[in-house]
Amino acid sequence: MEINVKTIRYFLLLVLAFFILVFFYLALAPSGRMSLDYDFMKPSYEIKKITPIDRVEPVNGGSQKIIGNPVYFTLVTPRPFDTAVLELKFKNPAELPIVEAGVLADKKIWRYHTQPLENNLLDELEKNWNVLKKGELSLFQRTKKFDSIENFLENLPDKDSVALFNHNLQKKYLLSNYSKSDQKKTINHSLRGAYQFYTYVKDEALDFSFYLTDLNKNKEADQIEVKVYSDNDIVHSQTMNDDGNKNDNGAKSSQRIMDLKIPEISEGVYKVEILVNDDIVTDKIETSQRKIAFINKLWLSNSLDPNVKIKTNSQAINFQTTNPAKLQNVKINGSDLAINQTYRQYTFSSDKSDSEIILEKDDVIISGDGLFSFDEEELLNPEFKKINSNFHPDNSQINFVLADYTAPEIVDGWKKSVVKLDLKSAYKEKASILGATTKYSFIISVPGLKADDELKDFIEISGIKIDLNGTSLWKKILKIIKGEM
Amino acid sequence: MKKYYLILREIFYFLTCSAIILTLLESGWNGMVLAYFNINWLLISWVFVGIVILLINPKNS
Repeated sequence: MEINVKTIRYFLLLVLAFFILVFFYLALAPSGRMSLDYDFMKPSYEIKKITPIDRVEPVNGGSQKIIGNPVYFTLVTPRPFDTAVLELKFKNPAELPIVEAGVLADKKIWRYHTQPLENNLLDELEKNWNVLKKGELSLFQRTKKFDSIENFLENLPDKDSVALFNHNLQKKYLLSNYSKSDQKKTINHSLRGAYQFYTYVKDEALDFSFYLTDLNKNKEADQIEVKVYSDNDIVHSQTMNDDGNKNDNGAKSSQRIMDLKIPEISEGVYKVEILVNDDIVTDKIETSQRKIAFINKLWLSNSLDPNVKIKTNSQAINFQTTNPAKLQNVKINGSDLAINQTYRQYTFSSDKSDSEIILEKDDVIISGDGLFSFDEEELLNPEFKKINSNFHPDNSQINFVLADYTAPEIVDGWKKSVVKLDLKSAYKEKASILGATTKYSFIISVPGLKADDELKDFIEISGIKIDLNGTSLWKKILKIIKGEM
Repeated sequence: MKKYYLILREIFYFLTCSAIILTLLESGWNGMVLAYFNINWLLISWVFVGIVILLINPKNS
């Protein structure tokens, strides 16, 4: 039989063309939908391994144990998407209070947008407190006072008796006996990296001068961005470019001043956010505002005073230093906490609503679930209390909890939780030269889970499923035709 | 033998083209191919077919 070489050649070329078309189809995901699965049996190309390795045990028989907090995984998609519905199958044998998952939103300050997978504190509260539900919103009442969530929202009780979980509640916060200051004051404690604080304005301008130095210890351009928020809306933003030295030669820049002045601004609380990387040090802050309460974190870099006093309303206060010369004993409400290892986080749990911290030395990262000030007078607390892993209903004056939370369902002995994450506002990296391959960074957070403690607690995960949704190819083509892109 | 040689030679050309094109696609658009297909299998097949062609090449006999 005569072989027709050309027929074979054309047939094989057709096969190749078919496969190329299939690969393009899969990469473009024309429907705008994609479903990805990692079952811990065989590696997934899209859902990468959970890291860092010292906070996880090796994958074993279709599951993996998380022993430290937090852990991360990367999602690689052939094109960008708008939302991700993340489904996690897990076990929490130690009944750790909160398990969350989220996506990286801001790489500069490593901010993740997280959603709860499980909250054992609320699950426990549901058994003992009165519960009202409307959609995904639940109102927990120590003793029944409101008969509907609407009624509760219309007649909000005292702020100190309400706690929130995964929900924001706006309530105008006004200080009745506040008067503006006639003098400027200076915060002489230098702060490293990003930070945010609340301030209060009444019949005065919002007026801050930040004295900034660039340490030039990393190679990135160190842009400085300041944002001012009122009720979560940005009311002002400004930027300052890098000092011109984009090297990592450690040549400290000269001091530069960034003035933030908003002359006509209505009375109320404002949140000021300084978005910088850890190369930027704020040497001092000059302001005419009376109130400055730093939110959740403060990295005290260099201080002129040997014993810096800090006031806080945090009940779990964490301390960490990266500098061996700054190991020390921290005094909190008169008790000593020894910081005797670098890179290790030390936690002090206080049962008081206001605590005083005295640092022997500077260069300590202080973080917590509340606010920090250098002077008791400066402290203001416009926030509703948030339910976190340190919440104890019996030792708390909280009588109402408003939560956007759905408890996990149990399937074959595993807990299954689903959270919806916004990828449009997430930080993404383009991961190919010509194509649209996109990388997202996810977090699984279990506050209180530590790899270096003596407890044998863990979270076991047996499946990660991600359903992605985005613009379909046809909609995208329509947008291009209409000139919207 | 010549019949098999001709068929395998076409398959070899096909595998060569496929390996080049899929590698280029993967380099330009990461994950486009490797997310669904391991190019290593293509290269193993390519080497195997290449060796067989050399062995059964009628010119060699």
